[in-house]
Amino acid sequence: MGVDVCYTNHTDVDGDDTDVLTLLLGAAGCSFVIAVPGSDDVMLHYQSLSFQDVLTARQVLGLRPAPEFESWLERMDLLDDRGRVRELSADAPAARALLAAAR
Amino acid sequence: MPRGILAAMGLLVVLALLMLVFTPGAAGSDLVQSSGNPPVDALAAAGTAEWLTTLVNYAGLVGLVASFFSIIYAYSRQTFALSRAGYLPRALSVTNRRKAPVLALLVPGALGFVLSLTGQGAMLLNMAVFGATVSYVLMMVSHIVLRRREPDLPRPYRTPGGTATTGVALVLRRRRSSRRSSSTATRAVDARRVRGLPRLLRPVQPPPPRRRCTGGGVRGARRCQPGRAVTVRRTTLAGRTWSSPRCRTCSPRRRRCARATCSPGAPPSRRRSGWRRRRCSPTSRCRCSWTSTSSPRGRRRHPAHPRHPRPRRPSRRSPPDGRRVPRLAARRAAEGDETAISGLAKGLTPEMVAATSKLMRNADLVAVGRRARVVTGLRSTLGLPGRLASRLQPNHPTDDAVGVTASVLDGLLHGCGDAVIGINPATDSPAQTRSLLELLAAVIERYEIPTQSCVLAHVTTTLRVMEQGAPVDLVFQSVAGTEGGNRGFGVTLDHLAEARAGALELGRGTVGRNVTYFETGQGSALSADAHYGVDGRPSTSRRWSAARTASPATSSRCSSTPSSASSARSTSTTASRSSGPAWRTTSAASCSACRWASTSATRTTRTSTATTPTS
Repeated sequence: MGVDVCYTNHTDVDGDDTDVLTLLLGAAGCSFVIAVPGSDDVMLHYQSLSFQDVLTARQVLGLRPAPEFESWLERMDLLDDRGRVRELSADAPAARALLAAAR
Repeated sequence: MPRGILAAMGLLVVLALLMLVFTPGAAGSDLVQSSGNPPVDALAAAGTAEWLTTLVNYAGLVGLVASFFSIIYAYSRQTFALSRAGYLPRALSVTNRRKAPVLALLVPGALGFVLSLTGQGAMLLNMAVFGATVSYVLMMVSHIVLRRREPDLPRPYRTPGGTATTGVALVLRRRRSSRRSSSTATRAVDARRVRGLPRLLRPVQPPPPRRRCTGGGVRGARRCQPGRAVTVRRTTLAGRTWSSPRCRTCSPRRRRCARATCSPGAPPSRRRSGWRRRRCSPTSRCRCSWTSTSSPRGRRRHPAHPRHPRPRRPSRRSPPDGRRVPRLAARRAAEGDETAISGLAKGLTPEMVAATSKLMRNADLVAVGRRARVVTGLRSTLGLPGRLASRLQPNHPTDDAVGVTASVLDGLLHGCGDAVIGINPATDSPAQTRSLLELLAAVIERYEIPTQSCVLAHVTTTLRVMEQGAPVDLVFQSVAGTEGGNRGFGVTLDHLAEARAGALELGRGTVGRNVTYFETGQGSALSADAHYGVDGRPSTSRRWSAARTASPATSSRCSSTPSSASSARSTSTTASRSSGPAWRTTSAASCSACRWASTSATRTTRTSTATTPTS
């Protein structure tokens, strides 16, 4: 069971609240959270977590992605030695391979 | 004020002055005094050509007809508005194809016509003028009353001069109406009634006393300068008057109470001295949370309100047993292995789970939630200890393929998308759903990504595209905790079972067979007015029962692990729109199937967030 850590803009909630909730959920062993680019859902018009927030929660709480997905990330050379998602430059092989789909 | 109105008023004043000077000048004051049509008579007396007199006469008639139009417009719209507000029969606000309030036009028109047949034109006119005068008087009175009762209310428009202006206008109006009523025609309407109007002023309270603001307010509220004089706000409720010791600046913003039972629609904004908070958080301002300490009968509870059930009153000295036991149980469960909870799961009803979770603090919920693991999977495994997956949500306002792909790649490069790549489509059309499904399937196949895709269309739409051969991994549906709520979603358990069977037949899984994705939360039962007055939490717990019923166990591990993914939107969107309590539903590690699923609804305040135990 997962949670969309999100809020609509007319509520009295901000990023601190979503951070608190994300960390609590991570501690509670929540299965998954929802993430959108830039934590701003441009279709539903509400704020959720960003991809970076997921990485933060994983790193802070020592959690890892789903096992099959983790090995795929490794295969795509998206993880560094410590199993963290690698910072990529635009011409990195992995980025180029993935971006080919967008062309 | 709009310039048009100013210009019209100015023109009227000028013309009236001209008329006042020229008509007696031309015809003599004696003639004008007794004339029914002064300008025409004045022209005739001055020996003007007949055609000019006729022209002026017709011009006057046109003016009269024009004012009839405005009267017709006014009476019809007023009737329409009164009908809409429930003061007149509903039928009067029915409009025709072109949005004209037909009956509101015809019915008063017919009444006027019938009255005109009485032949008492002068009396009718006097009655109309008297009625208009009374309405003006009431407007002035209302303005004064409003300014005194609600001095701090935000106003889009301020009368120049304030109540002084309306006071003067009121006196003038009254004098005028008294004089009018002395005419023979309106003698039937007693002028003393008009003099009785000041009685209306009686409910006006004296201006509230000035006090010093106590400052403070809740965390996050702006503070005013300490000791600043404030107007104490007052309100009358249940026959007593309550006042606020804080100024508007210090008062916390309006919030809804967290308790779903206590505040559908009630803006709990005022702090009342003499009432002591009992239940709700320091930031909610709900009537249910106050108990009276200043009632005539001594301390007693707030009078029961149909929508505000009385909260139970906990003793302050020792926590009631009800609070201790679940927490102990929670600790025990946290210390033991997870089967302590899983074994219990089948014996727990959603109501039990909801009640227990309400007594638990965040730490309890986290501790128990950790022990309630549910492992599911289709092409990736979710719910394993030490793992946190994510749903990549590449929504796009126009479902544009390039935009969606860009978001998908952004997420994948950030190591997200292992739970599901799920799009909320902008439209629920089968064609759009299908093209998005094919887009996601293409990306997943091209890079052999061990994850599943989902387009969060209505289950019936998904069923349709599945029949057309679209690559459906997960069947999505929002579910509610009551049958009425699900009816609001347009789903039945049969739909869900059928869709699940269809997705299983496609056999797109590699590591598991969990093919459903349910979304809960959002206070949908409340929005659909199908919550039957039940608190939000049991309603939410029941959603998982619905999910379990729809997707019976497919895995041998847990008694039931039906859906590959299910998520709760953490902040209610629909609920707050429908003026319900703005609670945030959160849950963690829940088996969507087991009865032991629950969420905790917490206030959308800065401090409290909660997670949930589930099996």
